[in-house]
Amino acid sequence: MKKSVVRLQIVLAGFLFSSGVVPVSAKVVFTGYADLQVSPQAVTKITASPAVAGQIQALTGAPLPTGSAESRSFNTDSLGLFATTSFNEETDFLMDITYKRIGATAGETRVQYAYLDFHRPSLGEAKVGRVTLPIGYYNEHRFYSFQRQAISPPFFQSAILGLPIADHGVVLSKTLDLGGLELSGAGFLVNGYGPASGSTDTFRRGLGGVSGSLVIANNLGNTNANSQFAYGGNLGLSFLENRPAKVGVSAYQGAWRPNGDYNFTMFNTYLVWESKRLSLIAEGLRTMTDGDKGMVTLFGVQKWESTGGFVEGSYSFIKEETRELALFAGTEQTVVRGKGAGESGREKLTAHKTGVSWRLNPFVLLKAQYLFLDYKIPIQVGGMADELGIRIDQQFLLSMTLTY
Amino acid sequence: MKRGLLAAAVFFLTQPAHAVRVAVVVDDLKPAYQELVDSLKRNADATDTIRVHDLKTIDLSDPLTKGRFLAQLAAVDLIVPIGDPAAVLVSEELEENKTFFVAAATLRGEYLSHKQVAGVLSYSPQATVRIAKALIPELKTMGVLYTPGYETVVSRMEAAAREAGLTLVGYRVASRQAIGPTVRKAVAGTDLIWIAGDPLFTQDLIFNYLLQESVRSKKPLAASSPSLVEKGALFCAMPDAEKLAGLAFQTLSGFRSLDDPFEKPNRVMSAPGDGFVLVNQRLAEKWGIHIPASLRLWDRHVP
Repeated sequence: MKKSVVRLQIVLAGFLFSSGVVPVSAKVVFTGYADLQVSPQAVTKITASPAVAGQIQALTGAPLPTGSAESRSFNTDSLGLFATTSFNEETDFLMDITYKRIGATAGETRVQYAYLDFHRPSLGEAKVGRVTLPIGYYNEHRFYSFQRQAISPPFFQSAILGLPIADHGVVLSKTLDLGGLELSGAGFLVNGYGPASGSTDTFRRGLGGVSGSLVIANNLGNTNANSQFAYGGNLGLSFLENRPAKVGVSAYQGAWRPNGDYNFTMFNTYLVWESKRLSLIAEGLRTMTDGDKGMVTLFGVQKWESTGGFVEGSYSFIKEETRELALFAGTEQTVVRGKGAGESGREKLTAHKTGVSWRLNPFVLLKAQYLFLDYKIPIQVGGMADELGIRIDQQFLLSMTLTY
Repeated sequence: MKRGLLAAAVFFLTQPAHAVRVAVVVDDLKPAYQELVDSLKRNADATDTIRVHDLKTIDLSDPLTKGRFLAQLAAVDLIVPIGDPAAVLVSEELEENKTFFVAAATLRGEYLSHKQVAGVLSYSPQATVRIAKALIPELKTMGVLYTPGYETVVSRMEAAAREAGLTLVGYRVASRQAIGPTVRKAVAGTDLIWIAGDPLFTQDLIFNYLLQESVRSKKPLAASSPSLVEKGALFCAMPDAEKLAGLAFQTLSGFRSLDDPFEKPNRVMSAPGDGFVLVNQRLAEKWGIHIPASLRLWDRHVP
C-alpha cells in the first residue's frame, strides 16, 4: 500500500477518534432468547391417488407414506443471540445470529440481520447491511417468538416464503407526525432474491426439484444471481390517540434469474390494532413469479401467483407490568395457481390456531397452542393436475421462550 | 511529510477535552430528583450531553429493545441511575461502567466495592440507629447483617451507635452457606437486627428465613428498603429526597474537576440523616411497640 495512503489513514483515524465520531472503545451488549417446543401430539394425514403416489415415488425415489400418523416431538426450535453496540447517540450496529433445529449440533446457523443503523429524528433512519425488509407488519414486528402470543407464525409466510424476509442492502425510513396521525415511509434497495441453490432456473422447488427430494417450504433464497438490485417500500399510517391503529401497503420487486429477465414481486397490505389488552393483525399478500421451472411439476407452467392473507388476534385477561395472560387465535388461507396456457391445479393452504400465552415474569413466556392445517398441493400427472393432501387434523404445541 | 505529521499531532493534541456524555436512568422520578436532573443539565458544559432514560417506557422483556437500551448506556461516560430499580438494573447489566447511583437501597456489597461505582444510598445509618432507639427505648445491642462491600456503612452505624450509647455488633456474611449459622448467632446476641440491602438477604427465600427467626425470637428486623417493611420488617429509614438530591448534585458537580467523587475514599455515601421513617404499624401494634410522635413518619404506611 502506498505510504501516502497510510499517512492519510493515520490522519483520518486520528480525526475520527478525537472528534468522538468513533469512540476508542465501543462496548458490545449481548441479549438473546431461546425457544423450546414440545408437541405432545400431532395427527398428520397424507392423501394421494395411486397415480400421484407413483409420480412422487418416481420423482423422489422414495415411496409416499399415505394414511394417518401420530407423532410427538421435542426440540429447541431456536436460540438467538443479539449483539448491539452504540457508537454514539445516532449510530448503532446490530446483529442477530440465530441457531435453529438444534440437536447434537445446530442444524442451521443464520445471520438474521447485521446492519449499521443511523438515526436522527430530523432526518430519519438509514440501515445498511443485512436488514429485515419493511414488507408488511408481521415480518418486522412479530417474527420472534417473544414478540407474539402464538407459537407458530403464519404458515405461508414462514414455512413457504421463509421469515424473516431479509436481504443485503440499504433501507431508508422516515416518520412524520401530522398531528392527528403519523405517516411512516420506507424504501429499500437490496441484493434481491435469486434462484434455488444449485440452480439457475428454479425459484421455488417443486417435487423432484434440484435436490431431487420433496422440498417445497423455505424457498426464498438470498443469493443474487444477477447484477440488478431489487427495490420496494412500505407506506403506513398510524392514527388515534397513542397510535393503536395502523394501516399500510408494501411492495418488493426484483429480477431473480441470472439473465435478469424474470421478476419476483410481492404486494402486501396490513391492518393492525394494538391497544393495552387487544391486539389484531390482518395482512394480505400477493406474490408473482415468472420463469420458474421448479413449479412446472405442480402447475404445468413456469409462471405462478399466490394470493392469501392471515388474521391473528389476542386479548390479555391479565396485563401487569411483569405478567400477562392472553388468549390468541388466528386463521390464514393462501391459494397459489399457475398463470398462462396449460396451467392447471391449485395449491391451497388453510390453517387455524388458538391457544393461551402466559408471561410468568419478564424473562419467561409459556404458551399452549392447538393447530389445524390443511394443505393441498397439485401434482401434474399425465398433463393434468391431480392432488396431494397433507392435513394436520390436530397438533398440540407447548413452548417456553426465555429471554435475557 | 514530517512537518505534516507534526502539524497533525499539534492539531489533535490541542483539541478541547472530550465532551462528557451522561445517561440518567430513572424509574419513578420524584420532583426532588427531577430538580437534580434539571440542575445537572443547567450546570453541564455546552458540549456535554445529558440524556434521560425512563425505565417505564422501555420493555426490558424484549431482548431487542433491552439490547439497544443497554448499548446506549454502555457507550456513555457516566451513568446516573436514580432510584433503587434503576440502580439495581445498572449494577446487574453494566457492572463495568462508571456509575453514580442516587437513592439506591438494595445493591450487592461486591458491586459497591468497585472503583468505578460511587453514589448516595437511600438510607442513613445514623438515622437508623436513632429510629431504633426511639422505637425500642430498652434497646442495648444492635446487630448488623452485612456482606463484604458494606463495611463503610457498618462503620458509620457503629459510630452512631456509640453516640447513642448502644453496642453494635457486625455479622459479616461472605456466602449463602454462612447465612444460617450467622443469623442464629445474631438473633441470640442482639435485641434488633438491621439488614444491609444486599440481594443475598433481600431475596424472598432468605428474607423469609430471617423473618421466621425474628418472629420466633421476637427480635425485630430493620430493613434498608420499603419493600422489606411490607414483607415484615419493623421499619426502614427513608430519605428526605430534596436533601439527598442536593448531596448528589453537590458531589456530582466535582466530576470534571479535582474533586472527582470516584477518586475519594468514601465513594459510597449515605443519605443525610434527617429523613423519615416507614414503620410496619401492624407489627408494631402486635409487639406492643409504641411509635413516638417525634418520628417523622413516611406518607405511605404499611396497614
